[in-house]
Amino acid sequence: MLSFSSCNNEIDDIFDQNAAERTESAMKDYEAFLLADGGKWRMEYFCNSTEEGYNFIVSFRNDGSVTISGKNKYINDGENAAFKTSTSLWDIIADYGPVLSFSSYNPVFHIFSAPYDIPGTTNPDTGTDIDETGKGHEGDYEFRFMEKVDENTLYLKGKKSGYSIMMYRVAPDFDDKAYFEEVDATEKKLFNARFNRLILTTTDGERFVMTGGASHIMTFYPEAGDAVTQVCTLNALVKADGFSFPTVLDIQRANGEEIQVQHFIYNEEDGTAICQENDAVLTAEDYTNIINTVGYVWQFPQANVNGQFATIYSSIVSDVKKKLKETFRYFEFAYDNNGNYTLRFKSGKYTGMIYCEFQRETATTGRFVFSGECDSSASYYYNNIPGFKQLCDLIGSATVTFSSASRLVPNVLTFSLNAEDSITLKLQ
Amino acid sequence: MKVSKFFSIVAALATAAMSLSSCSDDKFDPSIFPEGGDELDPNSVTYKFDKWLQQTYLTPYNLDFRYKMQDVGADMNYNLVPAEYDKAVDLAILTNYLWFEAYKEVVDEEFLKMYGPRIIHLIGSSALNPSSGTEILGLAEGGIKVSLFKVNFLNVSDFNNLNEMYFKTMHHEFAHILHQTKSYPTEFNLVSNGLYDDNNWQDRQESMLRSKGFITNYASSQTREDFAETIANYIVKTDEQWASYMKDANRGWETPTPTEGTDVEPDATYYCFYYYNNNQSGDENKQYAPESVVVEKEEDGKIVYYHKTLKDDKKNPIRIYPCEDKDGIDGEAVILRKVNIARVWLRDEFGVDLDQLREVVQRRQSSYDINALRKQIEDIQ
Repeated sequence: MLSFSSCNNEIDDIFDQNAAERTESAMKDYEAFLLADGGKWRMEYFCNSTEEGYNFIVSFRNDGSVTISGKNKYINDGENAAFKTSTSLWDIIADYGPVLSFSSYNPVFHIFSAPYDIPGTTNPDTGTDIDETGKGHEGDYEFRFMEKVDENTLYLKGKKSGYSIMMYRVAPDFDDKAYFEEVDATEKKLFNARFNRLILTTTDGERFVMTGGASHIMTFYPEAGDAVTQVCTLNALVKADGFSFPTVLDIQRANGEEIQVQHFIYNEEDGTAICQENDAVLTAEDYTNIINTVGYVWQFPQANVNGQFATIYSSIVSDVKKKLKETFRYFEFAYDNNGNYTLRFKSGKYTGMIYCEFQRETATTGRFVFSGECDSSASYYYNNIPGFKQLCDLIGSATVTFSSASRLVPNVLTFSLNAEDSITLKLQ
Repeated sequence: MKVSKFFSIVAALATAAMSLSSCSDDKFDPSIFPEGGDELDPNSVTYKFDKWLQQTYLTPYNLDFRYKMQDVGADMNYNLVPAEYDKAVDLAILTNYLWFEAYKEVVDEEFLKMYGPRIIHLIGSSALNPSSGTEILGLAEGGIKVSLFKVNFLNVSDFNNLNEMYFKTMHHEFAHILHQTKSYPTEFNLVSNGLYDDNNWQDRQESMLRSKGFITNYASSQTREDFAETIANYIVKTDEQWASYMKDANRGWETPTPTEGTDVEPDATYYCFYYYNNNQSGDENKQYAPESVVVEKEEDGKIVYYHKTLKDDKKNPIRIYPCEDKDGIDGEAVILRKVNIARVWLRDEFGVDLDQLREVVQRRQSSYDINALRKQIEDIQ
């Protein structure tokens, strides 16, 4: 009796519907979700693990058509990345559950799935062309629905590659072209190949070196750690408000522990990028290292000086005109490849070099030290136009403090003696 | 950008062929798809095309014409992209006009309903295999499904291109479907026995292979591909193209011996003409002439050949000589023998007159009006 009662074959169904009905129901549900509120989305697309990510603006319609907009180097006008938009077909199909399929060719989107050679790819070691025929970018055009993160966020995975793809709902009147212009502007604020070495500083003060920003293939390692064994690399996507990695990146601290980074938001106030996972701040290197970089030339025409500097600069311009019948053009600090740090100037057709040194004191402060040594051209000006010596004496009179509107791309640096006396340098 | 040399394949899956050979007398059920097809959405941008496909392929032939890509329906080992919608529309209407209606005209609608594929799947890109340097243009699977690749390269104004990329492929694949249903005579296997090379066919020179009795280099890969290639090329190639193939088949070929200081690679190039410098015969003066520099002239009722540009010291044109045909194979006779085996087999097994089919296809491919054909879809209500 007891044993029989435990062998009841009637088991309650877990689901009300069979598998096919549940798949059908899920497909309809996702279709409605995609089409809701105008059906327009921004897609963050990664086609492989070694290539930057790409933005697409995707507008789904209930007549089976989809319009996709993009702007990247593979959609170009012959030379430069160009904005393009094209309409094709979409479906939700049943295959490993509901799958979003971009089911007819769209020249904006499917170039990342086509099996053809990618123009312009070269082997960095040999400089020879890489032939990707048969592979192409290996990007997906069919995506498994993973999760509705919230009403306006959808998490997908590439069906073949398994790469994470995020989609964010945008307003029906979202301006596709303006968005890509905004991305371009953010890109310029975030990355510049001349400031390849960036510093990520955590809230507890540990510093990590980040390189490769301009290529969007970023490499991190702890500044106090090992640049070889503690390095990690991931591809990123730049968007209008910052940049993101497709997955969380675990960066090793010098002590072997890890911090996690994925999303960085550009901070307009000081030109930094803030890591959303841990509030770490991404900046360029210390200004005093940047000003001391071999090969960099920082120019300052008359319009870029203030206070006492302006008075002296003005006297130089007028004296050169009066005494030498020349038009004074500009000053610049230059650190040449021979190890000479100089205050250079151009007046008329002559270029002169007044030798100096830059002595770093802190991340933002240092001193220019002049000995009075000049090349033969500069000696003439230095000895006959009083303003040259006065300028050197004033610059070298005290510690200067550097600042910049952008801490990530400080190609415009201001140094000041005090609140009134300052010079703004522009990287040439 | 690097451009590799790729060779095209139109293939049948061997396993599928084997499995079907045991049920050669089976007939397909009236439909493997829902009666009348899925309900179409009149609001869909593809409604007219979908309805036309339903009326043109699904209802009469029980055929699902799949123009939307689903990669589960393709070989996942390849990186492929979907077909462009407009090109898929054009290929669908041309497929009907140049393939289905041609058979309908020569045999009847029932023939294709009985033996035609049940699925045609369009794929936008090539299926490229970089390691072998091959490119799949078409694939017949189990006598049921034909996949057509490179649809995004469709050029409706160039029927040679259409033939090479699609319609030759369709006839090739259909030949596979037919022989997977009723085997072709074993006699065919013996015609070029021992001359096939399944691994290196893509490296063999096509014109030279014709003198050995293969219509294309892919035909020299294996007998079943030879059979399908022979039929497909016979149907779609114009009289002029076929005559040119037969001319290749009748020529002699030599493999020049590489000598120091020359660019001749061993076994790499074959020549069908040679000449002597300054018109002085002698082995040390012997040079090979590409076909493109040869001029034919008739002298005393006999064809002789001259170099297009070279003159001797006396300003006389340099005489060109055809290489001697030393392979012991009458290429034209072999190819025609293969055509005849296919001709008899099609007639006896399927009631298809191969020559009439060729005539109908030739007429249709030389006279189609793509805009008039497109109108069929525009006129759908």
